[in-house]
Amino acid sequence: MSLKPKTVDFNQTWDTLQETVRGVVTLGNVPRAIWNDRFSDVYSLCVSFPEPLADRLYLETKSFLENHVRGLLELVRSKGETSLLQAYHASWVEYSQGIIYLHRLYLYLNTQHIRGQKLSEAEIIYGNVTPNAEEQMEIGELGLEVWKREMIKPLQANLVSHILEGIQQDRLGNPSHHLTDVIRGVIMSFVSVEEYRKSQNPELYQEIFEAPFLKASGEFYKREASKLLQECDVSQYMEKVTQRLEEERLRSQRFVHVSTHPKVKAKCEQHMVADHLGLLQSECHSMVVQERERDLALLYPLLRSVQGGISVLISEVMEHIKQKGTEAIAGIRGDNYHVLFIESLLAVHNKYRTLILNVFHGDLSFIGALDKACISVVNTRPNPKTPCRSPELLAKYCDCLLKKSSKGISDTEIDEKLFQSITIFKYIDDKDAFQKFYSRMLAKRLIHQQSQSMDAEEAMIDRLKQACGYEFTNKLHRMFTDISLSTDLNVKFNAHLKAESIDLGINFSIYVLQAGAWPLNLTSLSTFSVPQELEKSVQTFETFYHKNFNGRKLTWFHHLCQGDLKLGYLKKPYIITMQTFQMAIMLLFEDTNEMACSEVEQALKLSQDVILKHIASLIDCKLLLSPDPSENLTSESILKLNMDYSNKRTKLRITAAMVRDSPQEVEHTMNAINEDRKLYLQAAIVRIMKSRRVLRHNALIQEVLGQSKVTFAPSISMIKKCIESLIDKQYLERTPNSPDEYMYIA
Amino acid sequence: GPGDDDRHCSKRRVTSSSTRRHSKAEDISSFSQKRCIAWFREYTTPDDPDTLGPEGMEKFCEDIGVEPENVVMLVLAWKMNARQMGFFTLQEWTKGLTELQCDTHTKVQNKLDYLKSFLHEPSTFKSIYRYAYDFARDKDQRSMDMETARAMLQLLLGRQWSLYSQFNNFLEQSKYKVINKDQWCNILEFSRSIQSDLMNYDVDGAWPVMLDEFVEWLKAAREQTGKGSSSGKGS
Repeated sequence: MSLKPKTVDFNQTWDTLQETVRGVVTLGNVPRAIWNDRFSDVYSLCVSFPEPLADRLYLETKSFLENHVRGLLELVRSKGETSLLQAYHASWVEYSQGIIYLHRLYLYLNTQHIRGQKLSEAEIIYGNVTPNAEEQMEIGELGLEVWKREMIKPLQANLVSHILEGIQQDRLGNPSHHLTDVIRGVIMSFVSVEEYRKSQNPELYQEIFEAPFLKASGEFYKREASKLLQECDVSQYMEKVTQRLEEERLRSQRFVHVSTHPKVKAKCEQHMVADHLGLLQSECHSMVVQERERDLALLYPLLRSVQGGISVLISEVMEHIKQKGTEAIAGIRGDNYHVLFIESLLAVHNKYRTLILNVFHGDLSFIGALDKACISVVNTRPNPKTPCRSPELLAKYCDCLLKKSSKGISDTEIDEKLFQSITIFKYIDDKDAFQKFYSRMLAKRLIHQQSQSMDAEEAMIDRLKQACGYEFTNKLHRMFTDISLSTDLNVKFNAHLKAESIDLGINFSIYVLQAGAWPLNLTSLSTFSVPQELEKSVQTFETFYHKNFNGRKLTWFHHLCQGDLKLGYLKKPYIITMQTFQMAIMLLFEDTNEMACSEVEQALKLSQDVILKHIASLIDCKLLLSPDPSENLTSESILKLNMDYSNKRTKLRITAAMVRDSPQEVEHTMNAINEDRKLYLQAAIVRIMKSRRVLRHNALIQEVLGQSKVTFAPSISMIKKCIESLIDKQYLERTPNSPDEYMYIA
Repeated sequence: GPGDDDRHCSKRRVTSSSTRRHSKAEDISSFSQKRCIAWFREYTTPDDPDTLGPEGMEKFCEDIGVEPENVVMLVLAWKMNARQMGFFTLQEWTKGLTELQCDTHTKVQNKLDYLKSFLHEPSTFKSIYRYAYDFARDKDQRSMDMETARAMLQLLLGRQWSLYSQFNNFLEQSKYKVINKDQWCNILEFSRSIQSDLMNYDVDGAWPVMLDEFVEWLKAAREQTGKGSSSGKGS
């Protein structure tokens, strides 16, 4: 065939073309050859000479389609009201497919004639032209447009009411499976007829179907909710609602366009949850208090779906955990207080953490509530005037895990418990207090060689470092370093003794500890005249040390030292490990069997209370005898060496009594903490003011609180006192024009 | 008192409104620095001719007819910018009295009302109040001891601050042994800005802790008496 434009007789060509068009839209059998010829006819009409006949072709096609669809409408109506959906659907399936084919048959008209006239998108957006309502459409779009006008418009009310009835029956539990595809097909036809539109929204669908559908859904679920509430208790109600929501989700997928899914879900939630939020929230308390996990698991997603609905549940959970935590530690008494205290807290924490993971899917707001509750319990002060005891108790708990005495539990168990203790550590406000207690106890473990394992000690310090930073564990690390350096030092010292052929007469080893890193109090040192037996060791070591480290000052902490003393005056020889002062007292009995307390005091030059305390300890373990056990010791009391001493064991240790923590020690620690805090706060205030120069009172307080919260929670009045003392020391002054503003003085 | 006598004298002389001593009538009306210094020496001893000490002060007070505890003496010291309570140096004396144009006790007497008027002007009062701290303080200490502080507060705020007596009771029972300058200055601010019902007191304000504690103490005390009186009414 020739592509050259030629004169075409429109009527003749259209007559043949029309027959094929009918065949195509009714999905009749159109042979390939005929198709090809008609395809060319469309071309010929469009390019015909002397004038193109495209517009006429368009109009004729349009009127053909209009007539065709009107015919289909009659057909659909003739099938009767009960079969309306099926009849409509059948026609639509045929017609919509036919239109797709027709569109292809009119390819030339579509691409060359119609698209050419169309305004480009840029012209629509930026140009001043409004799209012409009479503008020609491509044949596919035209066909759908005709369907919309000639088929949907006249039928829409009936169609929609049949659809809604079908869905209503489905909701009531009478699904008609054969109708599912039909209903969905009809609904989707409302979307498909507009698929040529540029718009994202299926407007026809929304207008004629979605709006009434949502309205009907809302009414249905409103009734459903009030019906359920009359029949069920809250647990059953939540169960039914959850089930309803899930069913409706699946139903949405079966029937309606994807854009409607969230809307219908919101409708359900609105009427079944939000409308009855008060009821659900009022049940929160008892569900939480009784820990009804199943109910809570149902309640959680329901409340989550309503804005602001979950907050009541969160605060109920928080209060409950707080309550349980407080109860858990309330009844604890006895020697094992610290262990029970920490382990009870951990039990509560673990229990509710598990509950939150299982029931609330680990929702972060609930984890936050758990944290808040634990912080509140851990930092409770039984009395507002006294500091919180948790830091001390936790340090003690770690101490008894890390000490040698903790028998009966395996290393992995100890490790696990230490790991758990970090959970409590993170909740403690006064981390500085914990650090002080921990370092005191660590010092004791290291000096008295009571650590179970150095690996465990280091692992714990690493954990603290991870939780709180290098600064926090700096001193603890330095203590460790001292111990390992001391081992080397002892080796060197012994080599030195060998090289110089010095015999000390005893075995001697020593720890050299840096001042500052260790929580040791220089002021509590009492005078002491070192027994002759030890003097050579002390002096030799001092000479050795000063030669190696010129300019360093050694201070002897005799009260922390111990020695093994061999008793040869008894029936059996005993080797007893004792504290140095105890040993010094025992050594005085080398040449005599009895001695007055005052003589001991003179010989050792120790203060009286230290002497009496150590003598009492020797009397307690029966190495010495007092004249009258019922009377208190005085300087005049005469002490006798117990020549009948006997013990089942020949090697024993009597230092335990000396190592124990006294109540004063706790008080000293608290005072030391307070002093450190004042210094810390003053330094923080000076740093802040130095960079800000001028700052309002409240802003300064907030900044200080922000900086200090890592290690402790200072009271406002403590911060204020520090500010005042800095004003007094003339680091700061109040600005002249405002009473609550401070200025840094350079 | 001696003041009355002087006023009689001046009336008899029937001169201008300013007073003069009848013994030296010539040009006594005009200020003479020389006379001023000579007058100073009447109160000093040859060992320390340039410092007027406690004994001289007592005599000086007697001459001008004012009790040493009178607040006007504080104002006079403030005018002289005297460094230490109980003492005037020659320099302080001449500077202050030249400003006041006084070279006799009568002239000073006639300035007393003028001096007192400084106390009524809030900004001058504030500077007198602040001056009083350094003036009365033991120069070896940075802070003022409590006894002195309470005496000075009585002198300065005793009559004009409605909560003064309660504050004084609070100090008496408190553990505070000294008052520092910041606390001192803020007591005045507090007395000026906080109502006696404490309604406009802000816990989160920048008041020194001492004043926070005073408020807490006062509220507790009022609650106590409030309870007492209400139960009293009931029975």
